[in-house]
Amino acid sequence: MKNMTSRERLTAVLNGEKPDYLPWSPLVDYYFLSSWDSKKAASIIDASQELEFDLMERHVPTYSEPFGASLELVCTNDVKYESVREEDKIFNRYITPKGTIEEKRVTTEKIKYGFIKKHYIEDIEDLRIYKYVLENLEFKSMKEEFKKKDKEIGEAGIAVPSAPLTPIQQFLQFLIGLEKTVYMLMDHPEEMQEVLDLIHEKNKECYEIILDYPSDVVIPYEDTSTTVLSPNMYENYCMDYIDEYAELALAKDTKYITHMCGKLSKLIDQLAAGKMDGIDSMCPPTSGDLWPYDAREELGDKKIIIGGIEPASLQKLSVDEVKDYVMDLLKKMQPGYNFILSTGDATPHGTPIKNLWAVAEIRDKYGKFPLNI
Amino acid sequence: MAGMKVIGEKFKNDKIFVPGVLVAARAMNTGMEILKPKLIESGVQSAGKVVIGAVESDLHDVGKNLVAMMLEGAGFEVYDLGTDVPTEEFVKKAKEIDADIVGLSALLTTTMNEMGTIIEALEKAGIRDKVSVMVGGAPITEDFAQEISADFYAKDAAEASNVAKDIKKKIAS
Repeated sequence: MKNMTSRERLTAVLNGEKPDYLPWSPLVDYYFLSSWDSKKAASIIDASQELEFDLMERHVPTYSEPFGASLELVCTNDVKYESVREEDKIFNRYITPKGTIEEKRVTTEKIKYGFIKKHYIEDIEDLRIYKYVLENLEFKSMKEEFKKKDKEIGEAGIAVPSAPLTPIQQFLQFLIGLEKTVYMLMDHPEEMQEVLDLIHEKNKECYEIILDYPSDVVIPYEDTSTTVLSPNMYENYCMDYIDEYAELALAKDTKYITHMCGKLSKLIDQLAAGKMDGIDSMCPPTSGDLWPYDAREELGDKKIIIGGIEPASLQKLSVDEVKDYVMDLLKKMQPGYNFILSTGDATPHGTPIKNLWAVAEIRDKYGKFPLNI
Repeated sequence: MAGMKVIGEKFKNDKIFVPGVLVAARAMNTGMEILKPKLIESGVQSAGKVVIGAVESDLHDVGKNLVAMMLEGAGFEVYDLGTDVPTEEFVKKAKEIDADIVGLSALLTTTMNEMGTIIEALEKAGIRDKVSVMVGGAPITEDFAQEISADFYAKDAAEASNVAKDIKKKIAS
């Protein structure tokens, strides 16, 4: 018999306490909801009730790119920002006296914000314009909006604000893209480092704002993976920044959990040495390459692990196969300290509802804490 | 080319990672721009012709680009159609250049089924027996590749150089 609400259960794990049952908290967003009957689940809160999971609603109240943080970006002085939609394309622009930089996105029915087709920064001139943008950028707190959403969620779970990405991830994911980031780091190391340092300073301003939200945890969506970064790059461009941000969070008694949904096995030593409190969306093969029980051996008992179910498998497997998959995972994660059962990234569009119910069924049947299967 | 073979081996064995491959590939491409006219002049044949792209509605290109680089490094002539490529574009290009290989990439579970549609379209166009179809991408598995009747599966870009070798053998036989 469960004797905790979803909010209590999740909060217990985040604070190193014992939950009544292992939390089951898939990363559900509108990518999945758009494939589901909207009458049943108009919101993620509705979905959590219908599918019986412990809700960690992400990106509350928003996700402001390129920082990826839950606050508002405000251009000041002579910098202007505009976003223009033309059919399925979105053009986002920063207009400055130094020049204009533009990002082009293509939207689909399933991805309303679209995929980046052209990045803001394509060459060193664009980088210089972006540096000017950064120098004239401020942030506005959205604490009241966060509180409102968190209240709306109530006992169904918790709201989680997004923390800004490390500077290199802002380059890789939003501003420059992988290939050109690598080439520009080689061709223009000093100017690239100047902008990385400037983003880091702006990030610290973001943290000051976000760590004031009434939340036990913040998550930066690092999307860390050796399909993009080498271990050397992680060490040179991520580790120290992540440690510094983790210390800022610690000073405010907030857990700092990094979203790392890619291939992590070759980074395990650095992750074990890192100061983050945990890893979110840990993904097993084939999309990722790390099972939580293998990670647990390397990371030790104290780091929180969120994840364990590969999203593509959750979509493709039969109900019985899902049950076997989850049973096996729970057995290997016994007794289950500091573990939140989740998807190894966003639940895919079109994931069968019966598969999500199957996970909830196994959790309810065998997930009493501490696990003893 | 020999250099890229070394890079491919190191990549496969986790001695270097994607950024290292990108740097090596840029060096190779810069060299190839100078060498290509001379290779054509001296009658050097490519290992085969490849049409590659990310399937319709999929705009992810990192894995696909890496595979293209690996194949170029193995001496293939690569025609990269980019991302979000409609089925008919794969068929049209494969016919136009008399391709040996069609390489299909997908990162999303929502787009991976396009691969099967493309293989069917190659059948309908009457060129399926002339081309080898290679598939890859994060959600793709060996089982899925077999299910859609693809000829080759690479679990990641590190395997691309091995796949290229198998394809070379198949073309040669």
